[in-house]
Parts: sequence; structure tokens; C-alpha cells
Amino acid sequence: MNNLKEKVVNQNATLTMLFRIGKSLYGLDTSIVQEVVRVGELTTVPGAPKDIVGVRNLRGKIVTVIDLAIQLNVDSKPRSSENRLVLLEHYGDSYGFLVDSVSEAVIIKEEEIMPPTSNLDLEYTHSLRGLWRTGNDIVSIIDPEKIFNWRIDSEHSLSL
Amino acid sequence: MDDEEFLKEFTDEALELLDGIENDLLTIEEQGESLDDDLLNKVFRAAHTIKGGSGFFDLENMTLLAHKSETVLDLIRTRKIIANDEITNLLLTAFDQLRVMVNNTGDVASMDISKIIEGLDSVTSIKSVSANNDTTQSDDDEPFAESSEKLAQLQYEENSNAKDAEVESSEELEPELKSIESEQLEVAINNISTNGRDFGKKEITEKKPEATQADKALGTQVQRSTVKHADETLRISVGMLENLMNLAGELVLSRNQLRSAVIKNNTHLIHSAEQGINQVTTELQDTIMQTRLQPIGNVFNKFPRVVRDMAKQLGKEIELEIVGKEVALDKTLVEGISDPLMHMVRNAVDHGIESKEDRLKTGKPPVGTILIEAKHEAGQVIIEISDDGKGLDGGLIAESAVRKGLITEQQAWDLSEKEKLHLIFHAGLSTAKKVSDLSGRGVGMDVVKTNINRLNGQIEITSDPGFGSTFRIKLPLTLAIIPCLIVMVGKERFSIPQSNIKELISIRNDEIDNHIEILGNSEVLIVREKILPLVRFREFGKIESENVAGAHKDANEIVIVTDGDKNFAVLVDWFENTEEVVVKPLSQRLKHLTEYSGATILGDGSVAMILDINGLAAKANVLNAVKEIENEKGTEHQTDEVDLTPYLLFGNARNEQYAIPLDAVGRIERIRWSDIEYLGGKRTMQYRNGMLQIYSMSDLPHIKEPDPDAVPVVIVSEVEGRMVGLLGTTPVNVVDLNPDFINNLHRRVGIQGSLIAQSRTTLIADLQEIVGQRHHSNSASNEINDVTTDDFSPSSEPLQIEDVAVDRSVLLAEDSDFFRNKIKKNINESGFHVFDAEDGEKAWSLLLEQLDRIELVVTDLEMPHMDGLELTRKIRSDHRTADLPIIAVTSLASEEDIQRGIEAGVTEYQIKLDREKLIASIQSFMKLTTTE
Repeated sequence: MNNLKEKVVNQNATLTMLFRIGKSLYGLDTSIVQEVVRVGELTTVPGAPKDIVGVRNLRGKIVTVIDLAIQLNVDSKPRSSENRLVLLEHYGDSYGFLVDSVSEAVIIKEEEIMPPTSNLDLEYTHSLRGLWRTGNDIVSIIDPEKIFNWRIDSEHSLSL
Repeated sequence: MDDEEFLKEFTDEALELLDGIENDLLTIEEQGESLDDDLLNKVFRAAHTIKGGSGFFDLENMTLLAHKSETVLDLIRTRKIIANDEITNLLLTAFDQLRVMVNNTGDVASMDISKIIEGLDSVTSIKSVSANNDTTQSDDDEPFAESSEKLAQLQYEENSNAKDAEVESSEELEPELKSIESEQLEVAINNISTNGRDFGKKEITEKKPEATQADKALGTQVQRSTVKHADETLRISVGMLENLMNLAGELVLSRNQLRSAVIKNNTHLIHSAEQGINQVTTELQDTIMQTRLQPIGNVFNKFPRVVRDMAKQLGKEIELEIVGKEVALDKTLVEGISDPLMHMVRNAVDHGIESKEDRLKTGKPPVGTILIEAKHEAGQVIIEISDDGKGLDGGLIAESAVRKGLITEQQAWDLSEKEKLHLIFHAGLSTAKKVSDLSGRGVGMDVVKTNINRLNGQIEITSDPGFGSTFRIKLPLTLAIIPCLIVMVGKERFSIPQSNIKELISIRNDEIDNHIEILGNSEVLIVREKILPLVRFREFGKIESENVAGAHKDANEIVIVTDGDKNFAVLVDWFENTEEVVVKPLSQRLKHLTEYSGATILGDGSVAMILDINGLAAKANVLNAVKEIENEKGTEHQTDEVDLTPYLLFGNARNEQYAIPLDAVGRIERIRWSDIEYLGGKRTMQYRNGMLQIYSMSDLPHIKEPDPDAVPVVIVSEVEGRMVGLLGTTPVNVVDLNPDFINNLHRRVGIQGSLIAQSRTTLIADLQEIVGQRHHSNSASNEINDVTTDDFSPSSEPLQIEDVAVDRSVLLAEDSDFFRNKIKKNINESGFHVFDAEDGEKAWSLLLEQLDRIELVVTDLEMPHMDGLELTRKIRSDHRTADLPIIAVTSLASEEDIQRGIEAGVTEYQIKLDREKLIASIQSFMKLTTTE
């Protein structure tokens, strides 16, 4: 691991974890990932936006679980034991992004990242930093800032 | 200890000392000549300690200010001056500034305190002058000598006080403290000898250059430290700490017991260990809670100053009474409630209490009273702020809300008095006629409510216009841990804070239909004469999954909750248990879900959402349902003192229930269906020596025929001197009901309205109207050999039958269809006929047509063609109508308008939106004219 880190620093590259949703591969910068855990017992939150799968308890913390497939508007596989939560922290809150499975961590150099192709859905490319090719697969690298860029409803809805 | 820690200790202590100062100073001012030395010494010590400490840290401005304040205090202590208004103000400002300094030790050097110093100095020098008054008029030299003398004395006292301080301050501080003080004094002496009066000012400017360097260094260091551990310390007593240690010890013991029990696998031992842990945990929780508890007095203590200052500024006299300072609350709550309370106290001073003149005019004592009271009640803390001022006028509030477009006139009309008062929590509504610079400060009442709700608290207003108002706040003792009921809906569990729960009820499946009804678009639950909006949580949350726990249950579990304002029922699948839950905040992504206040982790590790009853009420549109339940007001006033009237309940079509006042009932005869004969299209029956005409509820449009399978009864009664029978079905029952609860929901000809009797919606039959209705619809009626009253011996009480007062009429001129219909309906319900017109012209011609019947004119002011004022003038100028009382109904009621109305000849003004007052006024006018 230390080796990897050195490489990352040396080569102006990022250590990126790869995971699958549906048939596609996605990448996320590991430096912002807290940990990857099994889905565990989820409590659904009635009334929540549809991409919120529920909340769970992780060592005393309440984790809001978001279905990344819904957020990215892509198809996912049926739930299985392969499902994982990718945990990120955002302004002190814990979020778990539900993915179909996690595959490996790779080093991606900055110059290897290509801009999203123009035939992709604009809303989808909006969440991406770019694309990266490995063998026959294309990895969509997710821009973590963008996936947190949800509309926050006004807090001050007052009733009589 | 390093410097930062020292400084922290100093600021902590200083803040503690400063805490009660304001009130102490105010008391000192109040005491005047009969000064309490202990109190003054306390204030003096505070100034002194701050002087010493700040000297140690080279906070020169602070030292100087503390010193100057001390000097003035000393003059008071030695009875050389009396703490009058001006001096108290000066001292208050000085201590305020000291507090600012203590809170921002890094910026002390750059603070400009020259004004305060000047003020304090002038007190010292005036004193010198006045002391010399009897000898000569002083010139510049005289007080100078006096000052030096004074200083000598001061110096002496410094030293003696320094000795006092030694006892208090830590050993390490001592030498520095002394040296600083003497150095300070020297500076002071030097300055004073060169430049008597403004030495304070000089000193600062002179001292500044050399001080900046050192101050800067220290300042930045200090600032960093304050950022690092801002307000992070909490003082607790050693006793409490020891208690905690003991509990921790017991916890370890219990754990060991549990461990050995588990190893031995002995159920009995495990059980007893569990009990031990349970007990220790509870105690531990209580004790830790206590460490966080602070007396509400910490907040209340700010109010005397605020009230005094504001009252003075406004030229009012106000007495502030504070009760229950010792009531303790969680630290976060004490802090969180401070601003809302301050706002309400300011409001009470500014808008609540009237000016002295106004108070005298209304026969009140010139001094207004504001009472702030805290007390414990049912595991919660209640804080009440009441004043004996002019109170809140629901009508005016509603009017203003309408004018600002927050609600429509129609909505305003339908609001109860309490709901109108609660409009002030609506953003963007201020009842103050003029915005004063005092009330403009701070937060609005909408924010007050939001803040209180955020603290899991509730606020209610009651007001007696003319006599004052009371704001009542309910708060939990703590925010972190709250007792909750855990309920199950589908496969999820939810927690409902106990503080929101009124009661729990279970209704068997086969009875539920009798308890749930639909009013308008809302479902309501009827329990024991009360109608409550019903929220089916499963449907609200769109929860589709099967209920795990209660798969075979045969009852419906209902939680009656309150958000402080309104009660409503929440239907859940299952009550699980009650648990004290630890509140965890929701992530940003879920914050907008106002129906939840947080989440908690239950004993089995799963998460349960905590319901926010306020939010749920808003989301589930409970307010709408409340509107539909117009008798909400009635249910709230259900006390022991209500006037109950006996009613006879009877049936009609299946599942229908009707009632009629018992005193209108002469007899009840059980009959057979075959007893009823039809003569000329009318039901009749042989009764005693004649024929009794029988009426039925089904004579009214849209009401079904009586259930032919039920046992028929005839309720014999007297209408307009004639015996009549009303057909009903068994079961017949007599119940005591409160006629005030009758609402207009089902009001129409023949039906007075409805209320809930024996948990069912019950329509109140109006026999006179039913009889009248039949006569109308069947005008070509054959004469029937009626049973006369003589044949019938009524009970000892005479039959009370109100006249159908068709002869007594009111003329109503109003251009808005909505209001015309509403007001008309309400006047009708008071028993008077209404001639209505949509403008003044029509009203006038209607009046001329019905001259002998119309006894009262109710008119809107703003109308097309002929407005209310012109109508009034016309009525007044015609001798036939000149004496008619005229009520002007208006939404504009400025002094000017009222004056114009009076000139035109309006008898009385009523605000359009105040239904209750308007009707009361109409009734009283109509009564007046009868007695004449």
C-alpha cells in the first residue's frame, strides 16, 4: 500500500477504487473513501427522495444510504451478497453509496483520463470527471463533488 | 499550567463573576441609601478580581476600566455618592464592556473605552465637587487636591483589597498581581498629578505605543487559544464528580459479575447482573445529565436590565416579577431558549404593556407587570411570560394577516380565536402598528416558534384583550436523551417523543368504522365526544410492506399526539415499548424531511426514525382537517364547568343518529309501523282523543326514510301551541351534551347542526323548522283534527320553545358574496331573519320595503353604488329609520375611519373578521330592542 501511495504521489496520479453498477465499471478516488462495508440492516425512511435506500447504524453513526445507480440514472443488478456500501463523509455527515460490487484499486494517471464522449447523456456526464480505459473496459470516473451536489430543500418551511 | 490555561481560568472566573452583576447593580440602584454592603462588596470584588487578573495578562485597557469602575463603586460603598440612574447606567456599560473584553481577550488593546472612562471619571470628580460644595465653588485646583487625597485613600484600599484577592487567587498569581497593581497605581498617580480630570484618556493614549508590541504578541496567542477551546469547560462540584466515580466503579463491578455469569452460563446470575447494570446505567445517566443542567436563572437574570432600560426609553413603568430561577435545564436548552425568551420579553415591554396614560385611561394601575415564571410540570419545564398589558386581539391579527396576503378573508373567518393568535408565528406578520426601533431588533415570532420547536419545545398563547396575554413554553429537560414510544409500521419502527403523546388507544377492528368518519377531504377519529384529525401513518409514509409483529392483530393502535396547538390521531400498526432514546441528527440529505427530528439506534442495533409531530402535522395536512372540525374549539373547552343540557337521542335510517333537546319533548311513545296512517299525504296517528300529526326527519330533503326494520317511536312535542309527533327509531337514549359543541357543519333547515354523542356524529333536529318546512312544501294541507295542548299534560317544566323569529329581522348590506352568506347564516342561527343586499342602494330600498320588520342594520363600508357611510347617512336622515342601530362591519378600522363613521351615524364598529364578536354584538342589539 505504501508503495502504491508513493507511486500516486510521484506520478501525479490517483489511487482509484473500481466498482460495478449494472454492466459498467466506475471509479472513485480512494482518498475520499472512508471504508467499504456490507450493506447491513437498512431502515427505510418513508418520504425520503427515491435515491435514498434508507439509513443504517455503523458503529453508532447514522449512515444515509444512497443508491448510486438511481443517482446516476443507470440500471443496477438485483440485490445480492455482492452489494457494498462505499462510505464517504460530507460536511460531517456519513453517506453510504450502494454499488453492485467492488472490484479493485488501480492507479490512474491524470493524463490517462479522457473527457466524456459526447454521445453520453448530459446529466450522466455531469457527474463524471472523465473516462479511463483498461483493457476492454471503460471506467467512468465519478467526480465526488458532483454526487454531493444535490438540491437541498429549504429548511425553513414554517407552518401556522 | 501554561499561560493559555491561566488565561482560560481567568476568563472563566471573570465571566462567572460578571454573571450576576447586572441585577446586583440594579438592586443597588433600587436600594439607594439603604445600601446592602454585602451586595456592593460582591460587585466590588468582581471589578477587583478582573483588575488583578487582567493586570497579570497585561490587558491594560481592561485593568484600567476595572479600576475606574472599582473607584466609582468605592464611592458608593463609602456612601459618598448614591447610585442614581446615571451612575448605574455608567457602571452597567462599564461591566458590559468588561464582559466583551473577557470574551475577546485578544482584542482588548484595540478597544476604544475612552468614553466610558470619561464618564466614570466625571462621576469621581463630581463627587469631589459635591463634597466641597458647602465650602467654596470649586475651580480646577480644588478637586485636584481632593483627588490626590482620594488617591491616597484608594491606594490604601487597593492594598487591603489585594490582600482579599490573595485568598481567592492562586498562589502563583500573587506576586505578579501585586506588582501589576502597584505599577498601575503609579501610572495613575503620575497622570492624575499632571492632569487631574481626564487622566484616563491621557493614560490610554500615552500608554498605547509601548503597549502595542507586547499586546500584539499576547493578543494573537490568546486569540488562537480562544478559538481552540471556546466555551469547552464546565464546572461541576467535586461531590458530583465523586458520585460519578462511584458509579463508574459500580459499573465495572456489574460488568465483572456479568462476565462471570456468562462464563458460568448461569441464567439466574446473568439476570441479576443485567439488573445491576440497568440500575447503574440509569443512575449514571441521571448524574451526567445533572452535570449538564443549568438553572434557567442564567437566562432570566438578563431580563431585569432589559426591562428597565426599555421601559425607561419608552417612558413606561414596568415591574418585573421572576419566579422559578432555580429550575434547571440542559445547558443546550438554556442557551437555546435565551434568544426566544428575550424576544418575547422585549415584545411584552414594547407592545404588551401600554403607556402610563393609556393604562390610567382604562382604569389599570399605572405600573405594568410582567411575570416570568419557570416550573416543572410532568417531566417538562414550563416557562410562562405574562403581562397585564393590552393583550393580543385575534381579530386585528387576522386582519393584518389578510392585508398582508398571508391568508384569505375566508380562511380568517373560519379561524378560531386561538388560531388567530397563533398567526403571529407566521413569518412576515408583525402586530405592532408602528415599527419601533426597540421591537425591530432581534428575531420575529416566527423564528421564536421555529427555535422553540427545534428544542423539541412547544409554545402556546392565551390572551384576554384588554387585560394581557400569556406565552407558555413547554420544554423537555434535555435534548440528548428523550423518552419515546416505539411504534411499528410495516417492518419499520418509529419513535414518538413522549412529550408529544396525549394518550394511546386501541380500537377493535369491528368497532373501528364507528370511530372513523370523513369530514370534507379528511378522515377524523371520534373518541369520547372528541373529533380528531386522523393520520394513517402507513398511507402517509406509503409503507407497503406487511406488518411483521401484528400480522394477526384484531385491533387498531392509535397514538393521540399533540404539537402543543392541536391534537391529532396517528394510526400505527403496533405499539412496541417505551424507550429512552439517544437523538442522532439526520444527514443534510434528509434534513428537509420535517416529519423527522432525528434518528436513534435501538437496543438491537437497528435504526428508528424519530417523528417530529410538528412537522408531521404540517406534512399530513392536519391543519386542514382541523378546519373541517369546526367544533374543535368546543372540545378544548371541555371542562367540568360546562353547562350540559339533556338531549334525547333517537335513530332514523340505519346508522343515523339524531338528537333533540329533552326539554322540547313531552312524551315518547313506542309504536308499531302500522299505527301510522296517511291522511292527505301526511303521516298521522291516533293519539289520546285525536289525531297527532307525525313528522319525520325524512321530510327534510336528502334525509332517508326511517329504517323499517327498527322499532319506531314517536316523540310527542309541542310546536306553536299544537301537539306534533316526530318519528324516530330505537334505541332511544338520554344523554347530557354541551350545546356549545354544536357546530354548523350540517346546518340547514330542520337541522340545527351536529355534535358528537356517544362517539357518533349526531344531527340536532329542529322540530319547529321541520314543521315549518312541511307546511311550506305542503301548503294545501287538509285540516286535521289536531290534538290540542289541553289534552296534554306536560312535565312540571314548561315546554321551552323558542320563537321562530321570522318577524325580527336584520338588514345586511355586504358586497362580498362570501361574507354576506357567512354573516347571514350566523345571524340566522341566532334566530333572526336576514334581508340581505349586495350594495347600499339595494339595502336602502329593501329597508323601505320592510320598514316594520327590520330592527338592525349591519353594513359593510366598502360597497359599490352606495357605500356604507352613505347608507348610514341616508338612514339617519329619514325619520322613519333614524333610530335604527347600525353596525358597520369593516376590515379598515383606522382612527380616521372610525371618526368618519361616527360622524355619519354608525352606532358600532365591528371588525369583519371577528365572527364571534360580531354575532355577539348583533345579539345584544336585538336583545336591547326587545326589552324596549
